[in-house]
Amino acid sequence: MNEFLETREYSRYRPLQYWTLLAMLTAASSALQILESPLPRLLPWLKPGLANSLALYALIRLSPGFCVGVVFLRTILTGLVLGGLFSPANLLSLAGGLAGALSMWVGFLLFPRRLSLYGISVLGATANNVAQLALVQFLFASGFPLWLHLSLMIWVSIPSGLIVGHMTRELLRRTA
Amino acid sequence: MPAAGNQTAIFSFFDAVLIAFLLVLSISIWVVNGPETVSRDWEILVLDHPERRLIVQGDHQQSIVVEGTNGEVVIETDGNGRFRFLRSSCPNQICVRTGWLKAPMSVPCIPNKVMLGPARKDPYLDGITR
Repeated sequence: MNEFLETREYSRYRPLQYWTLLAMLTAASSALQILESPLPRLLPWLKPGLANSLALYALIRLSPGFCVGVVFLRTILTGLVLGGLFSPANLLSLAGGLAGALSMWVGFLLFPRRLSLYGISVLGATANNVAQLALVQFLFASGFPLWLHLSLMIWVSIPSGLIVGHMTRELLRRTA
Repeated sequence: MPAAGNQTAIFSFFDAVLIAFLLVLSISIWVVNGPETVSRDWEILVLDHPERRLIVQGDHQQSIVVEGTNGEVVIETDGNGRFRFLRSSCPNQICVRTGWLKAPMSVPCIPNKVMLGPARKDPYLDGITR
């Protein structure tokens, strides 16, 4: 990831450009999330999370604030388009997305020269699942052992994190 | 700014360590929590109404209708210890598409706030209803 760290463009933009870029990234990210929603899945509650590639792109190329902004606005927008804005599923998506963004940021801060984009992305995918499962466990499960799902989720988080990491890498490379 | 395409290591040693750690964690969670649950009976809980707790025997083929938060939920057992959400009034139908479940897995229908899982040993359980 070292080569990408030097391509941060945060300071280059003027305020209007920030907002335009945030809008474009949010739109692209929402489109990805909406497009992947009807795709067949291994398990119905597991998604590949391709939209996170834009959040990771925002984190690496721009700033953590941009990343959180993309995740937040994407969740609101997809909630509006797919229905169920502020429904439990929408709030779970928001919690997972924010946890993923936060963990990627922490990974990025603590291990910028050690973890590659793939590692950061796997970290984000896992944190996304852990946060959603924790919220379901806390709010809905009422003592049922839902943590078993985590063992399955981790096996899905790894390939999906690697795919998202690769997508982000290509995005960064092609827009360098 | 470096030119595009001059990337060096695309997958680092620490990535491999992270993935190995996650795989070990995953297996540990399953080993610690999984095999202990051998109950063939299942528990259905409506979370808005904790008194609505049903213990259902897994060795009888039957359908159970439960009133969830947003409407009716139908849960079916195949008589071999497997359960599934047959129908639900929830919008995304994630619980229905999850299909058949076997212990130790549990699954919620979040919009209806109905939880389905293996029966727990609960010393305070004194309100079983059918």
